[in-house]
Amino acid sequence: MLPHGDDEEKWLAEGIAGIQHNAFYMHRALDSNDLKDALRYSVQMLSELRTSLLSPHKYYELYMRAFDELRKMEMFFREETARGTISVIELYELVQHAGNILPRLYLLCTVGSVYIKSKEAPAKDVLKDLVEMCRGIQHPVRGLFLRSYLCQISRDKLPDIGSEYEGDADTVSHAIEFVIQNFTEMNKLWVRMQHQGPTREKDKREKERSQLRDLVGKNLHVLSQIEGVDLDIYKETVLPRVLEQVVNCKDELAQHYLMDCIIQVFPDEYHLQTLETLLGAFPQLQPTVDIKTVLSQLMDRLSIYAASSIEVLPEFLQVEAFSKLSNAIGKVIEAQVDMPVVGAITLYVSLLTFTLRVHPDRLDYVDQVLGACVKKLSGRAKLEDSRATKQIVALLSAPLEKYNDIVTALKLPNYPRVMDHLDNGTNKVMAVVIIQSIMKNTTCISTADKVEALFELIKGLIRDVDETQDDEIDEEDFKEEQNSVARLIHMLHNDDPEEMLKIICTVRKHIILGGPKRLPFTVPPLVFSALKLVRHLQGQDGDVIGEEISATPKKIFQILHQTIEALLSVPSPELALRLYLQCAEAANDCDLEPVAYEFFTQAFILYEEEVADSKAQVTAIHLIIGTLQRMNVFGVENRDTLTHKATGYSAKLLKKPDQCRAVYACSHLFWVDEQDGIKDGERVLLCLKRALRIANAAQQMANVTRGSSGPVVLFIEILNKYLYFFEKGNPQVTSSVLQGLIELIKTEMQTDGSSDPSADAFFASTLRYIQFQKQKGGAMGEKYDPIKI
Amino acid sequence: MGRAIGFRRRERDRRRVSAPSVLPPSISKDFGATLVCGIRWRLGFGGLLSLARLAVLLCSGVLIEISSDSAVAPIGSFRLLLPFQMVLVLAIGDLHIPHRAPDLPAKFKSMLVPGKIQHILCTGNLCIKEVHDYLKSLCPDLHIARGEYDEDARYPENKTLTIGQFKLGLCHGHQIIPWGDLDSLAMLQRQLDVDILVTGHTHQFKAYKHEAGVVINPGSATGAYSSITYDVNPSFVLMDIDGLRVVVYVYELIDGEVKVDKIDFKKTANTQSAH
Repeated sequence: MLPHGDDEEKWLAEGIAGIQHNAFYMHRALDSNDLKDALRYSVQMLSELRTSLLSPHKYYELYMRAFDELRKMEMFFREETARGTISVIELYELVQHAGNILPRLYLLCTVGSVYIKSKEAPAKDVLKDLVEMCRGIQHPVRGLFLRSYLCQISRDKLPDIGSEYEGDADTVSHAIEFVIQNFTEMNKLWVRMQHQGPTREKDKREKERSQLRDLVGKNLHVLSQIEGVDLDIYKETVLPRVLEQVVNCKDELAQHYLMDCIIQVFPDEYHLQTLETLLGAFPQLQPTVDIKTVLSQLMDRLSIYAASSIEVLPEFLQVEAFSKLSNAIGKVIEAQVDMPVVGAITLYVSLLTFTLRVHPDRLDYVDQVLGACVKKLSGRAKLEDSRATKQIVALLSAPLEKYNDIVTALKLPNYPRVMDHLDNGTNKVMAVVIIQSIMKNTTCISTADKVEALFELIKGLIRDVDETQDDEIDEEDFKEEQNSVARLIHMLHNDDPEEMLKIICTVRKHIILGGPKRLPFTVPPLVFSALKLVRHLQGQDGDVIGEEISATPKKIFQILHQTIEALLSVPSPELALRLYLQCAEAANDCDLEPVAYEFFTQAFILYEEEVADSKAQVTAIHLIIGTLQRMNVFGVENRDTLTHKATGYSAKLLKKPDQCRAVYACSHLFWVDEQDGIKDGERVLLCLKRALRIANAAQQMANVTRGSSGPVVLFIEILNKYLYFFEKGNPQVTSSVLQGLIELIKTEMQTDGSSDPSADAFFASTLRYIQFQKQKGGAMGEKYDPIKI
Repeated sequence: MGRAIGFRRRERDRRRVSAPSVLPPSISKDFGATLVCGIRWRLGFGGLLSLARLAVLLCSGVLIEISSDSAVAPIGSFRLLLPFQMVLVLAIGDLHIPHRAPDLPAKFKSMLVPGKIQHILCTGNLCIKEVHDYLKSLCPDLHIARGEYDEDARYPENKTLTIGQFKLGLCHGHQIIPWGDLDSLAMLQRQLDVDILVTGHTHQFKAYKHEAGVVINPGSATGAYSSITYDVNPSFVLMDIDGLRVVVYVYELIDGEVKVDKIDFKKTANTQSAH
């Protein structure tokens, strides 16, 4: 039974007390230069380290106490030998008389350190002796700490090149030999540790073992610090020897830690040059080793190394780092059949990061990585593991972030294939990420092919991939997604009309599949995109004649017609009506009377058949009147038909005030204040009179229903319209007509008991305006002169 | 320091500058202001009014530094000279996002920062909630008139409000036929009985003074396609309302550069509307 909790604390305290007690006498002996007593008490002190009761963690505490005391001993030994009281060789012999092996070896190492320093024997011989002698301890914990002590005292005394202990020609290899041997022995002890004790405590033991790993790893650190280890020696000796040990120990914990350690302690440059050897070791590791983390670590380091300086990039090319890494990953994935998908994808993410850093110009490499990933994923349906999904998103986002340009990603044939493996939800998220990337970088997608590829990529947003899960979709999310698609449509642009037309057709083809839910979002941006093209063509129609050209306004209007028609299935009549009117006006600007007439007809049909809400009707009729007022393409007949319709519908609105306002707005259909504009004073007056009649009717209605005199404000509005046409020179509108109207309003306002302050203010400001015009002088002043207010 | 220089210069500049010019009418050669967007304005201190204008810039957060040939004055020291109660009103509209434009121009977005503007008058056609939320984030006092593409039925057709001594009216403008016609807009102005009428719809910036007040159209902030106006430049308007004066700053994005123009209006006793 291994000790637990309080017991362990007790044993540790006893051990520490033992060390302190003996150290006290040892110090006394040192002070009085009594070598014999000093050795005796130090042996007794070190005997405390023979305990098997402590866990590695506690043992470490004990060890550190002893370590501090040993430094004092070392100092004493150095002084003694320097004073000549005893020669270092004699001392080396003397300490070996200690009765117990553990204290003996600690003392031997301590004297060994002094011995090397004295240079009375070559460092390599002393070190070799020590490392061999240490074999005497085979208990894992005790052995590990003893060798760790050896490592500690020897690290500054290696016969390294340039060190004061440098020996003959082979000096570096002796240094390496020593460290590797110590490393090998320590690793063996470390690995063996797991087999000691009952199996049921294996987990706990592995945890303890893991706490000791840095003792073993320190050797590798020392190795990496040896000056003499240049690339050749590393390649020929160090790496193969270390790897041999790592592979042969067949221990999961050790292999994972040591591989990681190798990658961390040695320079990136060495890794790059020994990539083949290093990667060759991976498939030989135990199948349970978490290779992907280690390998990812390696690739991340190499990526950072590559990014550190542009000068190192040729090295990467020279050693074909990409293909080596790619192969290694392939082999690892092949060998570890049980590796979860997320592991494999993590590896590909690292490889992709590496590729993007080292070979940003090699899109084929990027695609190759994606392809490998597709291969791994093939045969599976959608991914359900959320971690794997996350990794795929990372995989797909990496090229977007690197190139800041979706156009590059569109060139990768495997990109959409990887995306296909995402579940619908994540697929949409990815599609939104793609769109955001485009928006952020204001990337312009300029060919129909690319647009096609892009829509293929984001098809999860464009249409229902499967119909089953409609209920789950959050209304807000859906709106946001579709709005981002709408924004995207503005980024699909080419200045060349032919290509632009192709783009429009491609977009149309895709969005039409979106169904009634999506069309209200996607149709308007497409319509306006097309209208922009129309305007563009309109500006340069002079020089296209004679060429075989398909991008003509006429052709685009046909497409527009069909596109807006799709909105009828939604149904979304109000939006469609607005878009028809926009098209009508654009056709007007292109001088295409039949087209404009057709669009107007469609708008009227929608108004008649689909716009039922009375408030929507008011807005719609104003838009119709406003647009029609601006049209100049129509011949007399068409114009008459349309104005007649507009006036007719105006008078048929539900509420009298709405009727009145729409009818007086219609007056502008017969009076366009431009050089060649229509100026039909009589019909203007007809409209205004009709408006007056409606205002009267409205008032009477109010009288009947509410007993009040109703909206006098309508009369003031009409008065203002009269003023407008009076100023514009409509001969039918005379000052006497105005005078009559003013008097009428005055009477109305007086009889109206409950005065409406806003109507009063309106009338006051209207009168003020008339006054202002009267005072203005000139022709206008003269015109206004007869009016009395 | 600024005050001393300012007043001395005024005497000289008054004689020299006659015609009203762009940005501020009295110009001194060696005074400049650098804006966030990198524009450098030449400024002159034509008395308190110009200082007020400067204050507008300071408060709008578009100013980085004020410099003259001899010294660069930290903005903080100018703030001490300016005890005015500044009211900034942003007029913006016809964004048509995402129907006709993907987003506000980045340059505008970087200029419009929260906390600098006291009121927003939006002429409508936002068209989506995200834009509403964005405007609300700039300033919580947000007034919107409904454009014909706005789905939010809560926006009114028109709206009036009083800021300082000015009464303002807001309307999208598609209801006023002929569209963009100043005489017809003047009628709406009489009807709403306002000093300043803000409308949109034409996507063309306009600031027009007539006997009864001012009609302002901030244009389209995204430069959205319009059947009425060709070659729309993105624009918005910032109004500084100070006592009986209103200074209208027009920000227009022309070929990727923000151009700023300034128009000055004064409300006089006889045009004051009867409240």
